[in-house]
Amino acid sequence: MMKHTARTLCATATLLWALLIPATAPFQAALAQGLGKPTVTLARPKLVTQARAKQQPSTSPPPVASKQKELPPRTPFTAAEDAASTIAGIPEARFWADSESDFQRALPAPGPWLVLSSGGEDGAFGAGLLAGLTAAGNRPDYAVVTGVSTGALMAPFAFAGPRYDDALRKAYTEVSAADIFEAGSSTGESFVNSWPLKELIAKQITPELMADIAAAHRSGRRLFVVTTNLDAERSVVWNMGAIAAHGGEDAIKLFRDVLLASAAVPGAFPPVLIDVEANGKRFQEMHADGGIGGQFFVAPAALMATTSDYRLPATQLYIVVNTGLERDFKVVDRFAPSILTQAVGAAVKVDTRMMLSLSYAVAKRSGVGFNAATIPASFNAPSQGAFDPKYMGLLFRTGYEQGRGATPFSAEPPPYPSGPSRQPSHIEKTGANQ
Amino acid sequence: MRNLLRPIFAAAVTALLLMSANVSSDAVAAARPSAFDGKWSVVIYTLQGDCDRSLRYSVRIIDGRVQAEDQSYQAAGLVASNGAIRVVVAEGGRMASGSGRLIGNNGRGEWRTSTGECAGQWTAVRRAADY
Repeated sequence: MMKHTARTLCATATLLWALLIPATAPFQAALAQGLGKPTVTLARPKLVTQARAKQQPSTSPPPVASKQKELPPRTPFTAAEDAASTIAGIPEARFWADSESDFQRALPAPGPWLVLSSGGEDGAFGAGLLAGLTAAGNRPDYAVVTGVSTGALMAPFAFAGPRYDDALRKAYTEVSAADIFEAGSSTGESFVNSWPLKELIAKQITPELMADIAAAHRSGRRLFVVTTNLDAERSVVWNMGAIAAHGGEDAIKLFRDVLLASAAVPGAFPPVLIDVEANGKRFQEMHADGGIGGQFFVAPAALMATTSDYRLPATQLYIVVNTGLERDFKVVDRFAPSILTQAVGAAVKVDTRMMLSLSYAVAKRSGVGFNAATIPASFNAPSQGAFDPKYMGLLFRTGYEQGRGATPFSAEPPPYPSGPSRQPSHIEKTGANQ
Repeated sequence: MRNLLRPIFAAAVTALLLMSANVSSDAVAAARPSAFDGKWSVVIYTLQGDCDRSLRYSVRIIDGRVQAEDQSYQAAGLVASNGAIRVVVAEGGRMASGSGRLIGNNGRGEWRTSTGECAGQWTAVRRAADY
């Protein structure tokens, strides 16, 4: 229930941004949150907040250069058609994340699994961790790699192996906010335009990388990326290796679109429309951030349930959590973006912690080794805005050192932070709590 | 209130531009198609101060006048026929000014906040009308 509540809250808050806030600040907050970085320090919003207090409530925006472009209407389709839809020419491209049979059918022989979580710019941690594991000679060929949101963006490199460590490092230390989104160009579907990220993905997902992923797929390994089908309110698992193995321009376009969709924070980034067909009818599904359905993906929810006796066909389960889990105390400004940032940040942490607990239970009952890598609680580098390369570089280095160290993973989920053990002394003295 | 603020903002920006830019008053009055008209993507880099390290904004130039592309911020500026540009951007009550030059489909220059708290450089590239 709580997990569901957290997810609902996350999605609702993100949408509220889109509805309520006529300023640029929220998109940064949404990006930071939706892509999983809950505690980013935003210099400009701080100043915006100060300035806002002086504004008259009746102040309205000035004239703008042009009316927002009207988006074409979508082709209507039914739930039944959507349930039966496939990618033309690549029927093996995907399956519903709640389909137990499709999931089990898609799995390879048992081996180590690598699970990459959401986290926005904090994906620098996971990128560094993988490079550190390589340096330590502790990087197996993962039988299964799954990615959600920023985890999806790094998953192709992680799956293709250490040869792509440098590309992964550059992806998380040599980019800035300007490479991810453009403000001031709301699309009608989102606050900002994500064309810079789309172009970045196009540069990163090269034919060479596609060929290496296809070869790994043919060898029996599996690369899964999760998006959320907003029309159906269902998570979708994309069999990225199968898409790569199909080859061709359509396949590489789909591969890139899926990555963009998996990181498309609703309200902040535009969703991605994906061409499908069902019973000879062609239409487009609307896909957005995979994090809506959970901050990382191990298996369908029904198989993960504590009431299930399903055993993961893995030898080891490695989960890389690309988002800080520690509480981030701050006196929240009386300003909608600040309130939503703090709320969504808290929800993401709760969701991630609960998923870690559930994954731990599943691994235990499966007789599978549980391994979780999380950002050290001691990491507190300042961030000068969203996707600050300096901050990301420091986090990459932190992940690298952890990956190269003796204990890159913990055998248990990180402990829950405990609250204050006693009431503030002034209450005790005054008896105000009696 | 809305109708009152708009002309005040516009007048202040125009005065600021005329005082500080190498853009003549003729250019202000011209309001005719410019070689630089179109949609531009501007990247702002902070080199001084505690502002976002980089941000990308979309702006539109119409008849040599710089305007915001949507309502998330306010922008006003002028581009001379030689590409000299002066812009004032306001967002949430905070203001910054920038100057520089456009050449062909590219541009670059400098910017600083009105308080002097932050400053840096900007680059720009012309984009297709719809993307």
